[in-house]
Amino acid sequence: MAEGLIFNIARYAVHDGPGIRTTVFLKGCPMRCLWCCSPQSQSFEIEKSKSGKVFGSVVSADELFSKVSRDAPFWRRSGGGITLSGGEVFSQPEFAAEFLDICRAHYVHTAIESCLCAPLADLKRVAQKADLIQLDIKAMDPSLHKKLTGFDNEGILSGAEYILKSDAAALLRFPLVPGCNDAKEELERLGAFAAAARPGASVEILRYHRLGVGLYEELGRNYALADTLPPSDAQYNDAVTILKKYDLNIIEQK
Amino acid sequence: MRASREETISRISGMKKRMITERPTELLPERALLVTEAYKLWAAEPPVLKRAYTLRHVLENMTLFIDEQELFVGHNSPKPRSPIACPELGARWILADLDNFANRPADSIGLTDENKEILRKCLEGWQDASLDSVTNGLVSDETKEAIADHMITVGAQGTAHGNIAINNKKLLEKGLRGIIEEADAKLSTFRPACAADGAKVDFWRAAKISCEAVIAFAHRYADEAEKLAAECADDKRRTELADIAAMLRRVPEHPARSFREALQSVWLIYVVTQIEADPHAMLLGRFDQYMYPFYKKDKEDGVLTDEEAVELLAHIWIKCTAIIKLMDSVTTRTFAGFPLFQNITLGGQGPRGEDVCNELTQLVMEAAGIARVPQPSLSFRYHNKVDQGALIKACETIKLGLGYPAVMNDNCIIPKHLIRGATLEEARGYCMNCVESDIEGACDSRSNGGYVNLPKAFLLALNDGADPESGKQVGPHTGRLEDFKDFDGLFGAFEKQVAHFVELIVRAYDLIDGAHASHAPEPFTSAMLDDCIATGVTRQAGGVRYNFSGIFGVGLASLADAMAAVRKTVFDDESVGPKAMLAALKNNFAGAEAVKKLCEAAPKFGNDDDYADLLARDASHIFCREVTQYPCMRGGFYIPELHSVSTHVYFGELTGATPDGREAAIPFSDGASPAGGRDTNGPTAAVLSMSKIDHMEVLQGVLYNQKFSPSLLSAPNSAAILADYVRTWCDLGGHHIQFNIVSSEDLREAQSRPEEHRDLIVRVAGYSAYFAELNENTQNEIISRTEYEEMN
Repeated sequence: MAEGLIFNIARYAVHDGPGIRTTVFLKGCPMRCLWCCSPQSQSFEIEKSKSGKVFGSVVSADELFSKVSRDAPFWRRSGGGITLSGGEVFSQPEFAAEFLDICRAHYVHTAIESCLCAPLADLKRVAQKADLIQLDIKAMDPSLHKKLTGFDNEGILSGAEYILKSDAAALLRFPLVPGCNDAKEELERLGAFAAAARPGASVEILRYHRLGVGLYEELGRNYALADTLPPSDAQYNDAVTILKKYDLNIIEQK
Repeated sequence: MRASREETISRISGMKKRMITERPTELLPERALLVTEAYKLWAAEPPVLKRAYTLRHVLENMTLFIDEQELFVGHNSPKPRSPIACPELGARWILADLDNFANRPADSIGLTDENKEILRKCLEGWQDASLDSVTNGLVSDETKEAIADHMITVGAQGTAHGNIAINNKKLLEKGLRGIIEEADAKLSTFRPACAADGAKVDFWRAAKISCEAVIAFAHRYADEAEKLAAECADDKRRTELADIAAMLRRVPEHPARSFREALQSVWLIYVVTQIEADPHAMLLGRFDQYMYPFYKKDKEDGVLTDEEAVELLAHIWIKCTAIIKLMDSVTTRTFAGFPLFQNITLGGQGPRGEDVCNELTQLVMEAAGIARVPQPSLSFRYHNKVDQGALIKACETIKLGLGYPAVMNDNCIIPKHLIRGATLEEARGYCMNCVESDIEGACDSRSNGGYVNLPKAFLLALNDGADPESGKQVGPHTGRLEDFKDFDGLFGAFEKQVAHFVELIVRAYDLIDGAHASHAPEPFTSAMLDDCIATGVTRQAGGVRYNFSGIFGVGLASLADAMAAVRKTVFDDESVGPKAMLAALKNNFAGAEAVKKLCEAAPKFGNDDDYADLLARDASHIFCREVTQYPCMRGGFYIPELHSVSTHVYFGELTGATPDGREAAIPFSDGASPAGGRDTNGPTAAVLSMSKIDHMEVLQGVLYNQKFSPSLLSAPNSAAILADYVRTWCDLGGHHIQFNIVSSEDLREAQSRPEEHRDLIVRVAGYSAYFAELNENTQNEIISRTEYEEMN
């Protein structure tokens, strides 16, 4: 029985896949994106905030399912289900695989939200157990990616290509962070990459937000993008216009 | 004449300004003076005839109000937002409150010095003759003491009962002339055989007199409209006024022939029921059903467009909100925000269980979204065959943030009416009150018995019936916390406390109910109900087919949280000794911070945790069992309700610390909803907790308020998702759910700058109100309700 480390369960999640969902946040991520809105998701250890709040608890896949499946009446009605998010889901492959198997045995729709920074073998093995993959790409240029996330994107892009070229239901998501990854050529490279891997692929452009800033303070850490503001509507629309030139289904965030 | 949306908005917003937002409240003495004259003129008549003549006298002489833009007319007083005073019902309390109306913190009513003195003189003559002087003599000292100890309230001591829907379908088909003919038929064949039969003859005569008086009132209004038309320079308005006059020559005397006539007829009769005795919760019933044949015919004949229908429908909101009821200063705390509990029911099932949503169902919601005022509330009936389009429209209307429509669950409510004795067809035809359901013309399930302070009953159970704060013996002796071997023993003591206070309400209310029958019958309203003419018995004496009296349990979640904390700390963990717990409560947790922390950490209702949730379920069951055992004065029986209006704020303000960690004077939880800020596991967990209460046995209704942040409903498909959420709630057996869609931040802003947010509407309980008109404590309680937003 695999155990996992999680830091939150969100009920009535309506932006993490179809229907009414229950989103489980796995704790621990190899990347350190400058704009990360959930710093408590990064470490693979249980943490305590300044005010004594504990982030992280260990659960078995079984326990987790019996806990979240109380929401089953809502999933059945709305075509919803469970979303595994993070942290990075694929960093806990055994736990995720076992949990997704339990969900499938109970006919529960599952989604994974991931930035795909994991060995391709793990990704292939676990991803096929979920009904929907929502994958993030943060930047296309290798050195820019490294600068923004502390992690190479070579493996991420081959993982993304693998998912997009497969017949898995997938949604590519791109967080638009002004001054970081919103340059025209970045967006063009993203568009070309996605359209080549899966013509007509669904791509959602997420707006950078600052809702997590307070948590950095709580955890005694510095927030790197102290002066960055969310994209203006003009900035956002510019990005949409660029990406719409490609054979993609662009989903805008209102 | 073809209205456009711009014209609709312009007309309705003009009416709204003149009749509501820019219209200060003002108490005028006209009705009180007319009633006083009439009671002298007809002093020798029995009450039912005296009151028919009184209604006639008022209708013949009152000042008529017609707004410069309205398309159908009728108002209860000379001016909008000007309540009427009923000296025959409440002279004592009105007199006692006379100096408070203009200065009280909530629901203040303007009153000039001159009118105050006129009223004072008038009311002083009524002091020993009004209904409230009669009921004051009937209520026992023990009950008065329990009221003074804030354990209970007892209703309708000096005001009329509403909670009734007249049979508008029948009225539109027969007209008042048809009712008069029914009474005539009785009078021409009936032979009295005993004294009670004499009262029947009196009632039929009174019914005729009052119906004729209403027809004459319609003609007075027609005269007034014609007079205004003659003076009017604007061609369009002159035609409108002439149309109004023509309608009033026809209805409500005769059957309505068009949508406009039907609306005018329904509205004028509605207004007269308000004039007769100023009740609250006169219901508009299944409006989209009885109005539909007229809508359909006019559409087919090409004489009505949907836009015109919306414009006419939006009048209902302006005209309902323009009516306010005079309430005493305690009631303005327990019923804050001028609620009149006017309600329109939409959708639901037909006699064979079929879905009956129609075009009008959606147009009514459309009109509500244009008017954007608190009254009337909308109740949308959900059932398994509900039209998805209508359900989505209901969810879109919810998203507007007006607090309505509330969603009512046929799957829960229809069986309740079967349990209460209705036929299947009647049960399927139910309409809504606030969260209580009725049957048009056939059911009087008034929610007026009284309210029980459940958390305080538990405090007494901890302390041998004495209030831990004051030490005063308030309830029966049932043992002290340290005497109980286990939690079940304590729960048994709670049962005895609840039983005692429910019984006090029943004993008092039966007598009050009787006083209404003997002193304050309503011949007109009774004549509008199905069985009263047939039986010759007024509504007040039990002439309606199904009769019930409601008793409310207040603060269920606060109670469950308090029970869970005692069970956890004193019995399971033994982390707090019984004496330490009582001392902490007595001292409002001063010097007992450790106890308070343990209390706060104990499981709380609303988190899908059986530990607390099942205590709410069990306590609800006890309350229901105690209430349902008693027959009521008019036949039928008492029925329980988990709904607090704003009494949870009032009781909370007056109750000491409770073991859930709540300090003295903080409001209790509202309705049956989780206590504010205590449900931290998201909305689905709260819904699952709520569904553990057996809603079916709470025969009068269960209120559940959820507050959603607007961001949770920002996704493009959010109305569809909300619809699925509501469906799930109904799958789980819920009775009712309603939503406040407004962020705490916005509410706090509105609290600090009320003048800029006079139009902010919030859901208080089974009704919506202007936030700026609520007192600070009620505002704070609404702000403190857990707001669900996205978590990450």
